[in-house]
Amino acid sequence: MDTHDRTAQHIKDSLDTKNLAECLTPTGRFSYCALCATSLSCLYKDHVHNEFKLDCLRILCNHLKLMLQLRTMQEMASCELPLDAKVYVRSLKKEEVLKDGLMIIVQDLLLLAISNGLKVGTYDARWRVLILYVTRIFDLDLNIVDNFELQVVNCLSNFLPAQTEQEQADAARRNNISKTKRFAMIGLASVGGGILIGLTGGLAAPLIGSGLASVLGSSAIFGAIGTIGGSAVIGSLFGVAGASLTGYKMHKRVGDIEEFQFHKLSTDTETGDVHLHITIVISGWLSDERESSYIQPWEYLRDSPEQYYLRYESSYLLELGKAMDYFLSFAVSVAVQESLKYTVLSGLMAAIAWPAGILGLSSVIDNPWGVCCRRSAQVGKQLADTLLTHSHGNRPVTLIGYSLGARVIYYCLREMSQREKCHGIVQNAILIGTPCTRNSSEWNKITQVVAGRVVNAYCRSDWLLKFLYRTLSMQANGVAGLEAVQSSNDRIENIDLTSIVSGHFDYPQKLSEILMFIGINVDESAKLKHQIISTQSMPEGMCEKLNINNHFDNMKKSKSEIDLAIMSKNNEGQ
Amino acid sequence: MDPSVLTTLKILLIGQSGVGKSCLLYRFTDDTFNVDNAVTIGVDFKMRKITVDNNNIKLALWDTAGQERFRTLTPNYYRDGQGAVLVYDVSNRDSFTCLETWINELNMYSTKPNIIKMVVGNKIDQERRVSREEGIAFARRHQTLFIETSAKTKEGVHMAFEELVRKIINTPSLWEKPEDVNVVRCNNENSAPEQSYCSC
Repeated sequence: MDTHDRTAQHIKDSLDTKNLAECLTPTGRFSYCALCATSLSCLYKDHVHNEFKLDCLRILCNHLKLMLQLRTMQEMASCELPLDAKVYVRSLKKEEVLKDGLMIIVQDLLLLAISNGLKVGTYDARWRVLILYVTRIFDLDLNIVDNFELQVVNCLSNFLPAQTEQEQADAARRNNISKTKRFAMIGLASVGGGILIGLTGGLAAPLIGSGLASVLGSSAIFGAIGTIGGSAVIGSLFGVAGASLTGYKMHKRVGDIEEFQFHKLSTDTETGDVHLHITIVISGWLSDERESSYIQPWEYLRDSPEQYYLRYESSYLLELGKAMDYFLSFAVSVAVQESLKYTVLSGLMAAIAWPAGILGLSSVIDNPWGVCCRRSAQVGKQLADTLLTHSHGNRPVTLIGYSLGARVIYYCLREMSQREKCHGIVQNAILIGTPCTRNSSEWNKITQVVAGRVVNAYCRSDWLLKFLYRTLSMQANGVAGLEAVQSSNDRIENIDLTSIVSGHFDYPQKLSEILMFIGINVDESAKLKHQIISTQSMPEGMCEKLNINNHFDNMKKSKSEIDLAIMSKNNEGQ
Repeated sequence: MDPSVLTTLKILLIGQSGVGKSCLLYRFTDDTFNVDNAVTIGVDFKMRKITVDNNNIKLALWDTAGQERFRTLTPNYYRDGQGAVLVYDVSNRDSFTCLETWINELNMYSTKPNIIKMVVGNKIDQERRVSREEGIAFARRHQTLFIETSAKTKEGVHMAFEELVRKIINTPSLWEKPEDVNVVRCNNENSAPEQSYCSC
């Protein structure tokens, strides 16, 4: 193995390369910092994030030698009306060091975030969202963030320094030291400086080495993060190696959950098995007993290199799936479905207007649906417990779910919002066709927990969901899976899927198309299949898209109103 | 929010590099004076409470960098400014002549058309190159307030900010929020008689 040589080379390189903060002009340093501050003000308006913003700015100012500017940056980060970020981008583009592109800033920011993550033991989702946001402002491909994270992790986990017997003994001893003690030692290193490196082995290095953030390639990684003890450290601090979700066992049950397990969705061994961001997907119901019925809908999803699916309450989900199948194929003819779709679209239908044939069969589906609804709420709470204890590692997680799976996510986030230290864990939450309330104050609570996007994807022609909620008192607030969530804060992205799906049954089959529409990474082959160009977008970009949707909405609405008018006319005639 | 505070005003400090904007700011906020103040990087922010005509007012002071290399960044901060302090150095003729460009830039980027401007001739403790009359003439031409100060000797510093704030407070359209119109009305009624006495 030439690992050692390579490592030596890396370290040599990192000494040759320079610190980005030193290469930038004062204007550049200021622009870099102010850009981040402005981004923070756009991303995190809620006061619960103030502490994070301050931490974040302190790290940035320290890194860029702008400590005197901290108060100013703080003010910029709390502006109600964010300042124009484009000015800073223009100014950064003039920098000599950045003439090859602004990617270096993204790298630098990422290294800063990761070295801070190693220091405090958590890679905060809000850091990651900030990096993605800045990347988007720079007009760069968001995938470079993923790629760069991979590079960092690979670099760190492959790096195993030559160990002498003494060092091995030290390492063994170190492993026995509790986590808190280890942090204390890292903290000490900042006081004692170089002398302590010898005492703590490589562990003190993250702090001392963080000043060496360099400009070039993989050597920069060592420059920024230091010569730490490889996979052991990254594993213990990020929890990526030790805490595997697939091995998760329920220690404490919430309610009477019978099944709650994580399984790997994709076994993509090419990119290694430790990553700094994971995705958990949750299905709504099962069409058959096979494992594949969990996996199939998510086949093309490529949101992160490490993806899991949640296996929960299979027997009940299967029962529901069967009931839905029966309901759809035997009870409700295509013609009826079609008319239902448009009647639902009009939004005028009262409970009494349901065709008698469907009402007669309601018992088939009402019972399993009720059971699954209750259980999915409990599963959501269990999931919240799992995430809050960082069983998935101290890294950002994205949650995606449809139907009851989205309900699991909704209850998970709601539970999290009521607990302490709930921020900075969930990066994005994508809820598709959610059977839950549309109450805006409830949704506002869950947006606090999520660092990045909160998506409510709904379908206005989802007659099944409307039918299932026909007797419930939720009519006043409405159902999130049927309509947009009206909210005073702009954190919730409402995405209308009516043009893609015609009802609840379509969600599993059309999932990759939906994900693409929402702006989630999917496999290239799926893109070709649907002939749609994916637009990866964050809240702002979404607005344009939504406007287009609204336009379509109006068109559709007017059409259905005409249909209704014709129908009522016919009735009169009869 | 503190109920005793009437409003928070955004005040900008603008002018050529080295005229003493930061020194004025530090004199006003911390009552300190440092001859070799470092060059301001980008923009500096300070907060101070001030009482003018029995109104407690919070000032958010944005001290912009005068250096040429920051010129592209600073106009970003002009937005929503209710008052601007345009500073020149009485011992440096250049800083006075280029005030014209600063005032133009301010007019171009400020979002409030009736922003209150004040021209401040700083460093009167030093040998003069610009006379007081010239300064007054310039201020009159651009319809701004005028005062001469010395951050070093403290002279005029507090008065400059006080005058500026008073003028802003007397222009309610600059800072009144639609919802607290009533509050302001009462306040005006109270303060109006006082003022009429003053101006007598």
